[in-house]
Amino acid sequence: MDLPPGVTPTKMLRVENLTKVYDNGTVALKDVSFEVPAGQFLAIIGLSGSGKSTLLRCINRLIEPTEGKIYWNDEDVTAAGQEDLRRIRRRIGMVFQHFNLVNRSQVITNVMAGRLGYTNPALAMINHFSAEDVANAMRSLVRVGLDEKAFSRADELSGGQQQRVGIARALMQDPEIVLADEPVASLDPVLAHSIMQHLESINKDDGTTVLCSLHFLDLVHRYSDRALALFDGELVFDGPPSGIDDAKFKDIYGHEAERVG
Amino acid sequence: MADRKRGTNKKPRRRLLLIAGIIGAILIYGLAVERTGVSLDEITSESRQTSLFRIIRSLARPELVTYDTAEVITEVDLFIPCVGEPAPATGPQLGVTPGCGEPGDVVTVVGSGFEPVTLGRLQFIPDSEFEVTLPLTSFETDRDGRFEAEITLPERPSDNPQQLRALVSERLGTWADREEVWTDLNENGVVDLGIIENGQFTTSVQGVSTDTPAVALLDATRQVTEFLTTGEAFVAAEGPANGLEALPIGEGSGDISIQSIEPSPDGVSVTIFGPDDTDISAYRVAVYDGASGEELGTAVLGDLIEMSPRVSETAWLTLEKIIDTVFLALVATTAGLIVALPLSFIAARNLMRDVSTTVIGLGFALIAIPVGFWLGMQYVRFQRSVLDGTVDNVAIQLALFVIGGLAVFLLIRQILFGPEVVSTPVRALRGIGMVVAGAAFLEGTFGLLTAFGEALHDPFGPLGFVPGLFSTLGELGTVALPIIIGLGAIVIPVGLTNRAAHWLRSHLAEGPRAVVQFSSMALGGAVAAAILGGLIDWVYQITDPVKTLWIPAAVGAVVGLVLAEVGRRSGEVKIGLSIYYVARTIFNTLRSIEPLVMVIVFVVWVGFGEFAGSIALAIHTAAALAKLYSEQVESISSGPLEAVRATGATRMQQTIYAVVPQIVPPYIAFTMYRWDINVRLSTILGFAGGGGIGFLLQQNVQLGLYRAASVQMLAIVIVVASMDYTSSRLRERFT
Repeated sequence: MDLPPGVTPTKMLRVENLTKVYDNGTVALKDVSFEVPAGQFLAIIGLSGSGKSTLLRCINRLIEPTEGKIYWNDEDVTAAGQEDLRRIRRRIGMVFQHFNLVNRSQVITNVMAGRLGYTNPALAMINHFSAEDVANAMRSLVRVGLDEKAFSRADELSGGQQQRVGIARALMQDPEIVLADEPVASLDPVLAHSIMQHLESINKDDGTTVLCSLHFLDLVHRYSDRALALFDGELVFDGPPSGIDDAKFKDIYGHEAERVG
Repeated sequence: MADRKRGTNKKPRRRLLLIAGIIGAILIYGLAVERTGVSLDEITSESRQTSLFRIIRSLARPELVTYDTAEVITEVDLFIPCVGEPAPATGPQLGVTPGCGEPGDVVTVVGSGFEPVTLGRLQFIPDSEFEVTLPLTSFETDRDGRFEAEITLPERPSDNPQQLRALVSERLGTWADREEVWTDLNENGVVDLGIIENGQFTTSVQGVSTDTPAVALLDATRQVTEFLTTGEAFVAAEGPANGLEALPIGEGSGDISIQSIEPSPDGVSVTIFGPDDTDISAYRVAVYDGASGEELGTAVLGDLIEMSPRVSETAWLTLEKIIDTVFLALVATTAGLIVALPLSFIAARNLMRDVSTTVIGLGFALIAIPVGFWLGMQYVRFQRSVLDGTVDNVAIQLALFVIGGLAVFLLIRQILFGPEVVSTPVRALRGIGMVVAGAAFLEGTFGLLTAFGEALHDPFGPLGFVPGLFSTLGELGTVALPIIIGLGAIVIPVGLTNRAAHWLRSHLAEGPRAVVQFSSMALGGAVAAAILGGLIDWVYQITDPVKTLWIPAAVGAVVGLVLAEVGRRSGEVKIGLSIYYVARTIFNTLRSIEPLVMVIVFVVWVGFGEFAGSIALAIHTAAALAKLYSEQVESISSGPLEAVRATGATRMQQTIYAVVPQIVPPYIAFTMYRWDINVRLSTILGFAGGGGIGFLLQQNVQLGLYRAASVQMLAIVIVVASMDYTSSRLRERFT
């Protein structure tokens, strides 16, 4: 971190003029800029294909941005080399729509994978984790209420349970930010609330910044502090969820859209 | 109107095309049939059919059992010229029409009541005071035990009836009632078991006559154990005891020894004493004339006594060879698997797609890789020159093993549990330490493996192959050590230059950075191409440095410059995809060469036999498995991989945690499948000298021994079918 002496790094995520053009020419993000102060619960909304997933994946560089900068605590994420990137990624937890668990592995192994960024690569080769990590994994599972399933195979669990394992995996990273990509889109509404409450607890109790892309506006209203809306890769709304009136709604979801939630 | 016009135009064109297509097809198939020599004449030719049926019938009767046979003799009177009537015959009957004739006449012989479908011979027994037989012709009886043959009467006129004899072989014994068959190997007319009873065994050697016989006793390996004479001592100048001195009898010694030698009217009788129940049937005695030193004759002590019927020699040999074949397939599959496992990851597009390196790093690495490899090899050479001949000393090996092993252990502990971030010099020192300690440790380990394996080989007796495996592994390791250390040593310069490249890339201004990029890539390309040129020189023996060094280096430099220009703006090169394409190309090339062809090369290198076969098969297996495996890696679901990548895992960790669990079942399935294929392939490798059952099969087919070949085919069918069944059952379990 090349900061002048005496300046403490700002706990904040800053996205500047982010643009992503895929190899096939699709423009997924156009000149998107925003800042997220630490501890905020930020919802990202928009139609399918509006660039929500691309935006989240650019932040931990699962997708390489084409142009623009991303700063986290004033460190340039976009310029980080392999080893720096590893250190940045391990403090950014991620939760996925399709849970992305290794089906054939045990639940505890899946959770432990969240610790890989901290483990010596050579040690992980022989499947070795410190006793402390194992205890932490069990604590994470207790927190999401799945300690009894620790030694089941991941694909034996229901969808809601699998997503809780996904959250436990993110918790193992001891994250400062959690990126949640449509975490409840594959779940029924009851389970959706349970998952959102876990994310809320991570945000409120641990003070972790949460960036969460969502489809349902009622979830946005209920859980988020602030909402960003993308339309065709462009930022069309940035403000409190209550600010999404009917006019804004039509901007975000298109003019034929009907409000259901 | 326009539509109709187009329609009418189109129709004749289509029809023309169709007609042209039919004519073309007729031409192509006509030519193909001619070129492949398809001929109905051959199929319907009677002589061809006869041979075909004979082969099919032989194949249908695999020679699994050996029956000893006795000859059944059937005779009939024959008058040459016609002076009498043949007497009626009993048993199997022979009839001759006419029953007499002039020399040179052709008469018909009809037989009945013989064994059905049996080969036999016809002989003529002329009227003579000696036992004379003249061979006439051979015949085969039909299903009713009848045959008919035409013979020409020989020039043997006589007033007495002469005989026509039919000989057929009859099987001795049945499985329910086996018969003992004695073959008088030493031709003394006595059944010799060759087992010592009551402290002694006496044999007689027929057809030798001498007053002062000398006898050499030969053991089963035909080594002379004793040489005694009844006369004066002498030195034999010929025969099995050539160059040995015969001592007067009475001075014999040893467990099994000659007790007495006695000349008899029709031979020499030798008595041997030894412990009771000792089997000396394979021992031989060689009789010499004690006066002249001339070798008179040799006889084996025991006769051959076998049961009929019994499992045939062919069956035993086939069993032995089919087991060798299965082992050959096992070794090849295992070796191929070990090579294919790591390679399958670098031949998977989804894993390699976004592997990239900085342009500077690539240029540096192209130089650093050969340098590191060379230095590693040189270090092993240096270590061996320091040890100078003491490498075979077990104490030195033990010391290397203990000290090197301890150093490796401490270094690994330091790397695993030490601080995560270390300075570049510390990193380099650790690397050098690992190379030095590792070289010592491995040298010691391989040396000890070889030494212990060899030392334990004999004490383990029939289980000697277990230590044998260790000594083989040890020897392999010793030979491969320079390469192992060379490969390991690559990591140090590559790591160092990679760091340097990274630093240069982020700290240099655009101008100087471009200069470094271009110059490093040009140099790297030149080095890589020069090494390639050296390989080409080795193959084609050009020995012209302009062609093998300077021109490739220049071309390489230009390619490097082009690559540098491509990656100039981003400063990165997608090296992963290049590696992917190179790996895939190599696999596809190797896979397209049949192991049967590869074996030809390896037979030249390591000689005929299973070893050549297993190397050829292993290479093919490695290429085929690597391709199959890597396709499995490509078909994994990308979600878990993405999730593990997001946690900050390294590429290696991503592979182990997200890729490996997903590919275990298909890997097992494909390995089983390949092992199944390898068993099938190994059965024919012998055709090209690759050992296994194919060798036996080819030999028998070429000698026309179809019944023996049939046994090998049967064995192949049984093994392949059961392998196919087991592998498909196991594959079901794992998917």
